[in-house]
Amino acid sequence: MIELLSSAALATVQDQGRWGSLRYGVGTSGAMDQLALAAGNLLLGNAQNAAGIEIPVFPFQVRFTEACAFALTGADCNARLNDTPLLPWWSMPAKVGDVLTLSLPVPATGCRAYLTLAGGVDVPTVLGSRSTQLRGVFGGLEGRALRQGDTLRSTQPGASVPTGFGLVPPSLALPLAVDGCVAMRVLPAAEYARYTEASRAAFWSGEWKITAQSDRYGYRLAGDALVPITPMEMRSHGIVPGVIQVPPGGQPIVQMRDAQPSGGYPKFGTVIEADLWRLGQAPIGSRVRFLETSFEQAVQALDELAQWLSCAKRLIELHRNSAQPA
Amino acid sequence: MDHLNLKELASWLTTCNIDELALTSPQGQVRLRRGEAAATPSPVPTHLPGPAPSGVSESSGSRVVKTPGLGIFLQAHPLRGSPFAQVGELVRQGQCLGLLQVGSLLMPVPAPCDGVMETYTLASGSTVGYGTPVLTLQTI
Repeated sequence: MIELLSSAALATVQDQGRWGSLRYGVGTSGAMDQLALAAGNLLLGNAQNAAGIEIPVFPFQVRFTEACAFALTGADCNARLNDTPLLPWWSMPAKVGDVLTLSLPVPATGCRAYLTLAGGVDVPTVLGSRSTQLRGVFGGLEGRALRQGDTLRSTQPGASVPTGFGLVPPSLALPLAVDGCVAMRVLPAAEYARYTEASRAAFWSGEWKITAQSDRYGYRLAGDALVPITPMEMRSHGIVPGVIQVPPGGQPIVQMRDAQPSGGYPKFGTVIEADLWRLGQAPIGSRVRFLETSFEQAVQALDELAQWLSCAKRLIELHRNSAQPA
Repeated sequence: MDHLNLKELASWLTTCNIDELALTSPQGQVRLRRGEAAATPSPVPTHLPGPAPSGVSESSGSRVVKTPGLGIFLQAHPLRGSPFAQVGELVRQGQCLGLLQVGSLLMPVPAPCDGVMETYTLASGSTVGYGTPVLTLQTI
């Protein structure tokens, strides 16, 4: 069991998302960096879909009130267990009373850290998921962000699993950048052709700044305004995380994991599912680039992620089988 | 090294189409051959390496730290620029002084004892086997 010592602003319990409920108007939620959460679970022998804690604000501090193996993935936050520095993307045992502290992320390593526990965080499953649905106020811990004094337990308290090893972060193994900016692949969407040629060219060639109005719901970007050939008015329609909407002002919004399931703005493009984790780790104030891609390449990119995960899983299992439980 | 292990190793050789396997461990040395390689034994080294695997070999106050497994040796974590230990730095037993990378997996090379970091003797990125010397510590 862990107890939150810091104010823990905006930290939430997340798994890989609540799928299959869009028909009820319930968005998917889930980790902004699903790859980091899945990797954190793999390091502990958990199911990839086990719930962990997504941490977007630092410093973050918890006390272990029971011995528990844990892993840290996502942004490198110079974590310490009591006074001992920890490595990023690493699994460790914690004893009763140990205090884990995460500091501000090291630049260029991401903006969200993930804390996973052996067995996974134990909160009730709602509509097939443990993810926090902030808009609907359900899932996670009481449907809300964590607060100081909250306690969370693992589904397998006291589980003893081998630890003391880590993973090379996928941002290094599967890098994607243009001119030094983190890049995401984008599929042109339904209204793409209804923007001026100059706007379409500028979208691909320009840098887009992630503004302070960016959170788990969506990222508002700043750059050269996207101008439609003729003004558009649309009825609300279904949207999913990754969809790039263009409000009348021409500054795009990328829907993120807490996206509502419908919207009425024109859709310029969609950040492919396989690259959403890159955007999820791009901090406010940073600049990103977009690369045009095809459906086939988008599917291939998903396959590459699945392959990275299955390869990591196989290596971890081999290592765990050769190691003694801690 | 028990017989069960040997049987399993032999079956792996067959599966992977490997003709010869030499294995050194703290318990001793094993050499397995299959097919034609078995008919022409290669000379057995007269000097067996001593049982000093992940540990230490001694020369007046300086201890050689060796790899506990195989992989690509890294002096620094891939996300961090600086090596795990600087020359002259005090290190504690169990402290991570390097990494072994196999694919995406990273395993630690721990300090076998308290000491003062002398020098890395192996470059980052070198492919290493079991028991390869990678750095030296001044014992305290």
